[in-house]
Amino acid sequence: MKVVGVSKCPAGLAHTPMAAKALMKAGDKLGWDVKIEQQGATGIINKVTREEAEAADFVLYATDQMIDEEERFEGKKKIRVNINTCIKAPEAVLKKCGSAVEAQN
Amino acid sequence: MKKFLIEARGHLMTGIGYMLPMIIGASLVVAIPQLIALAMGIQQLTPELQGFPHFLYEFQQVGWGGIGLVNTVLGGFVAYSIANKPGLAAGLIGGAAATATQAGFLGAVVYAFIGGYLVRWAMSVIHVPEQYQAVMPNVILPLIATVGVALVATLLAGPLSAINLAIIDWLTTMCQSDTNRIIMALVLGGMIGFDMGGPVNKAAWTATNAMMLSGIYIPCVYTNLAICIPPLGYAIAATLRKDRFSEELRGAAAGNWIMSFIGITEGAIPFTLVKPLVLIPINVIGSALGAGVAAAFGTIAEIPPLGGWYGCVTMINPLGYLLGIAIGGLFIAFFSTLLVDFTQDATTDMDEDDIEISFE
Repeated sequence: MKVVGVSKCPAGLAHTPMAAKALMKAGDKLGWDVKIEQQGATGIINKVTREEAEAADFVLYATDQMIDEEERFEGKKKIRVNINTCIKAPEAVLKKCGSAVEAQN
Repeated sequence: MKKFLIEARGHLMTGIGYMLPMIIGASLVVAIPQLIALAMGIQQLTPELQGFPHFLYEFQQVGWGGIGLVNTVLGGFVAYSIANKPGLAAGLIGGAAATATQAGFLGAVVYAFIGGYLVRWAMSVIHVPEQYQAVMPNVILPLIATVGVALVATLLAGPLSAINLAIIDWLTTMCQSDTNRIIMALVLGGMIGFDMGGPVNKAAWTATNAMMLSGIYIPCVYTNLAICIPPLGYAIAATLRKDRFSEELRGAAAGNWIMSFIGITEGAIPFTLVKPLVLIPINVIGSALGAGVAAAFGTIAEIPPLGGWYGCVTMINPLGYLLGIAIGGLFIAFFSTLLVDFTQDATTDMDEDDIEISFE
């Protein structure tokens, strides 16, 4: 699976990088290609490009908030998951989203 | 309904996220000249002062100007979150109206939601022929949104400001009694420690900051102080009892000293996740205890209080503030290492069925 996503929390200090790192680490474990962009207090880190988004199986929003520059993901399957869940159980989140996307195809 | 509430919370959080740096910046610009003035033996900065103190007064006024913008920015970005760019104007105007009519934080949020959803609704029902597309964002949406918000702000100004002022009144009275202050500190401290940056923490944080903007500074002292406690607890624990912590968590401890110093509760999350059922109660008790200690020692604020350890300089009885942080931190350090082995891996096995996901 190839996944791109965005993590974002109200303060943009701790949850944002924690969720992004947890998801990418879990992706390595599963052997997936996971790239999570951080939209934190200091702006966008590890930006996902339009091309990367095109190639992904789905887009993961690890936040309850509005995403910046959402037009990149136009037409992609987008899944929203609570950011705390992504930190707590990143591997299970990825697996669940993966199977949900496969079930739709 | 539940979906709407989750969405609404997201919009509120977005608004708060944009407001946050502004409060911090503006509070600093208020506090710094105040501290310099106090050091010079001047109790209050007034326009009559001459020379350097007058400069301090002018400087501080800039900060107060920033604090006066908070409802405006909050309203603007809540509406922006709901309806994107077309919502921003209505939200800003609604927020400013809330300040002007003393409807406060409450009014700003209400007007922003009404303005934002009005724009969203208008965008979905009004369709203009392609050659007239330009009138949508430039005439129709501003007209509907701003007129709508203005109408609501005019009609609701009375009741909303009555509610807002009644709440402020009640809280002001509550802040005057020692016993009530201690109870308040215990409750707020506990809420801050409960989910470290989650909804309960942010509810307490938002409430006390809203009060601070209305001129009630004391509750904010207790949330600012409690925020420093959980990260300090784990920083102490991982420094003193290295053998009880995994390599990864020992690494995180260094960051936690800094997080505690500047006041970011989130630093404690990786530690708490090791065994939340035991550690959350410890965090709650530790944070409540620390805040309670500071309240019992009569730590209050008469200017907008800053967060972090250094926030103590903006308070009356700064020692009580630091003592509260230290006692809360030591409590967490002691009981967490006593009851939990932090050498385990932090990520929990959560069942896939328990995870909620939603397609956009």
